[in-house]
Amino acid sequence: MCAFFSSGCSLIVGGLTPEGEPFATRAWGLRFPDGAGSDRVRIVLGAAELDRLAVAAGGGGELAATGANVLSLHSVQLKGEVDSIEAVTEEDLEQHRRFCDLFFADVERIDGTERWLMDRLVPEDLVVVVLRVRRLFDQTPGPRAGRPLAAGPA
Amino acid sequence: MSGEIDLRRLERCFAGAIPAVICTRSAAGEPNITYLSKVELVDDQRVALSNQFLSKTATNLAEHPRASVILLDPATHDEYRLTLAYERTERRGRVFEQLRRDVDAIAALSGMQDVFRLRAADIYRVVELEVVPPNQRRDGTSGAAPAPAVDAGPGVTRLAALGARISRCADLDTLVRVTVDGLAELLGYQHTSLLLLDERGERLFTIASHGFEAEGVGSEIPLGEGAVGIAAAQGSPVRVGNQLQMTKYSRSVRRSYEETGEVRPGREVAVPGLSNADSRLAVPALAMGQLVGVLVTESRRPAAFTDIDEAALTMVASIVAVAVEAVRAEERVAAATSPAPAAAGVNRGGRLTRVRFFEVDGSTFLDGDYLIKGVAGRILWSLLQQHEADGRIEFTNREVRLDPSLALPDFRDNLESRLIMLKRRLEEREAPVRITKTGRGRFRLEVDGRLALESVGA
Repeated sequence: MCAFFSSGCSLIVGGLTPEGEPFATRAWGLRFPDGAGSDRVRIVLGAAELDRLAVAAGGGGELAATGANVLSLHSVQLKGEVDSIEAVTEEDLEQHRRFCDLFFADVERIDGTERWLMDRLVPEDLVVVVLRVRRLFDQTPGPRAGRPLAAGPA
Repeated sequence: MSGEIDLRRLERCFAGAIPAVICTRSAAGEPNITYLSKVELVDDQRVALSNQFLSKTATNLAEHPRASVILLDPATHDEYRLTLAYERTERRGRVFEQLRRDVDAIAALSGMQDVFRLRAADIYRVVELEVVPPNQRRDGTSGAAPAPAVDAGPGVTRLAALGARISRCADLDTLVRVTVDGLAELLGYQHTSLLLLDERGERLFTIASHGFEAEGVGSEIPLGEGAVGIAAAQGSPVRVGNQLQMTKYSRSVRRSYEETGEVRPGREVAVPGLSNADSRLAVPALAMGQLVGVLVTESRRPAAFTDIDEAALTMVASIVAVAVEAVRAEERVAAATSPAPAAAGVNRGGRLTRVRFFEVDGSTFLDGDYLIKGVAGRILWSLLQQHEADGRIEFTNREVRLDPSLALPDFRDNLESRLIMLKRRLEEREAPVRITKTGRGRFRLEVDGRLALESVGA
């Protein structure tokens, strides 16, 4: 799971606005800072987008994050509670850059979309959401989409 | 925000920018994200989402009828976020049928049209539309991609010119060639094919094409298979705007079904046409309410075809259908009054060509290379047998039509189409056997060299 989310899969985060409405946005990197067995993940988001979500800096608020392999559409959704909002570290930025390289390369290979078109989408101001993962789901399109995968991240 | 919404400018996103993503929430406040196979434009204020595998999403919407959807423009890669308010679910009607056609087209890309079916179309009102991100950089420059050139589509003048060319065609062979050549020359559709319905109304066969590596005359598509087969089966245009992505999605769904054991691994439908085609538009050709064939155009560009293209090709397809029926009727009348021609001598010299015919399906091979099958193969075999037996080279459509070995149906036997397809296929393969039209309802069989005929029993 750690390898899957650390690859160049497409990342979408879902949460709630302060009004309680669902809100989807793109994430720009995800890593397991404590290793593969950990239930804590750091998700890189655009700061302006995060402002739209009802998550508190000190923790609280539910988030879902779905990663989809660009080549196969194999998808996994993780759900959990926000632990904290933090500034991006050097490690986060390194993972973010690697994520963009892998993700954009896969999209370019599959769709022929030139990288500069995708670079435009990357927010200039980034922030990290630390999420405590509780559940995982197979979200691959098909009849088994939504099937629970395991109690926690493996 | 609703006053600023102009969903029409997102037209390319609705052409199949997959995967679109939907976020919903449960009553307890837990968000959920899943992928959508299709987002359909309903009107200026509404979209429809396909409801297939969205069990959690459906539950969430029952508890909280709002959603957030991310769409992608396949040409500029701009992203849009739509905030939606659920209004209703439809299981019949115009929107449902349109969405079902599109979902069927996606499913057909991996041979899943019998399993992967639309259950319902959920209709949503768009309460907010935003570009994601706003594309305003810190240095003040805009991050928006330059808008691709808007194709205004073929003008009425050019459509009229093609219509005039088609209406001047006196026989089917000329008609199909003028159609595909004219679509390229006058209207700019460089990759097109024209398929006609077979005698039993079960399959379409290619009678002419333009702009492909191989002309593909004689290739067949069953009704209901792929975008072309669905357009024929449902009598409505099918537009696939992002075929590469759709194929990926469809294959993913198929794999998932295979893993559940609901579907056994099988072949994918081999769609003839342009390699790496990302857009395909298939328009049924109807005359007097009856399906005559399908006109198809393809492009390597994503979302290459618009409503204007659909309208233009629908118009051309209608003209072609009426013209095909008129030519067929005239050929039948002429053939019925044509006397049987005299025999001529068989050329007993020159290079030997081995013709192998399989009775089971009419497959015919020349020197081991596949030529054609089905009705056209049986026609060729019958002509060659007569040629070898008594030296015949002149034939009439009427006697072919009455040949009991062909077992043609009494009504809509499609003989003229089959003969033209056979003629074009022989020319495409540069075969030592040719068919030349010698008059209304008459043709000549020209054979270079000697033939060795071999029939393989059923």
